[in-house]
Amino acid sequence: MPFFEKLADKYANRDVKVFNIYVREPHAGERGFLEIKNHENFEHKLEYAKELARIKGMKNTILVDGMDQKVHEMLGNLPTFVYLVGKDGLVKYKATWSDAEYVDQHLAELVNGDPAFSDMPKMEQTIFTFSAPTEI
Amino acid sequence: MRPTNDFIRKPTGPLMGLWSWKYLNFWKTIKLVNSNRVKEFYGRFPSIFPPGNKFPNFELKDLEGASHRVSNYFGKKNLVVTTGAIT
Repeated sequence: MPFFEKLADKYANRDVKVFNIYVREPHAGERGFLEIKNHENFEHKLEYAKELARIKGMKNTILVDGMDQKVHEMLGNLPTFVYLVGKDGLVKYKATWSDAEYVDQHLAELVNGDPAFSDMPKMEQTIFTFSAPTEI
Repeated sequence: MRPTNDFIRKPTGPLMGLWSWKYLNFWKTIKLVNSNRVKEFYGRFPSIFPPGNKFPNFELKDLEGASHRVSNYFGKKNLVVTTGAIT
């Protein structure tokens, strides 16, 4: 299971929503991905987004950016960024690389400080480890 | 604790990054990561919606075609927003 699915599971009862934005294929046509092409149109992109969910067993909500990549560009245009946004709509943490372990540090602090969960056990950081991409 | 505006270089992963040889075009990757375009993206990323600032509102559809407007979650959920791709 991908790390961000584990993260969503861990915080399932702490008002956390994980969005995965399907953007572009940075390594289309390369060695391990010969059959993956650059998106030709939105339907093609949507098809790949569904394939991503199937291959990696993703349960988090996958949002599909438009062919103009408007949202991706607005948020920084990096292939693997991550933002943590509080209930107040303010950015709490952001990183150039989406490492679930580091997000977990800040997310734990955020929910542990939320009065809504004051009577619940404190969240502790989980150690996630890196793994190579799933075979396709 | 990691800094809130975190700059993380892509980790090499197992085998000092050699695992990626099976999947990626080595020279294309080297050329890409050293390109001015990519350096510019990384250079300006920390100043885009930095911690303490309002996250932008946008609306996108999910795989079933349902619309999700980010602002609809403000006041209700903490959001983790990341990206994904097959490759």
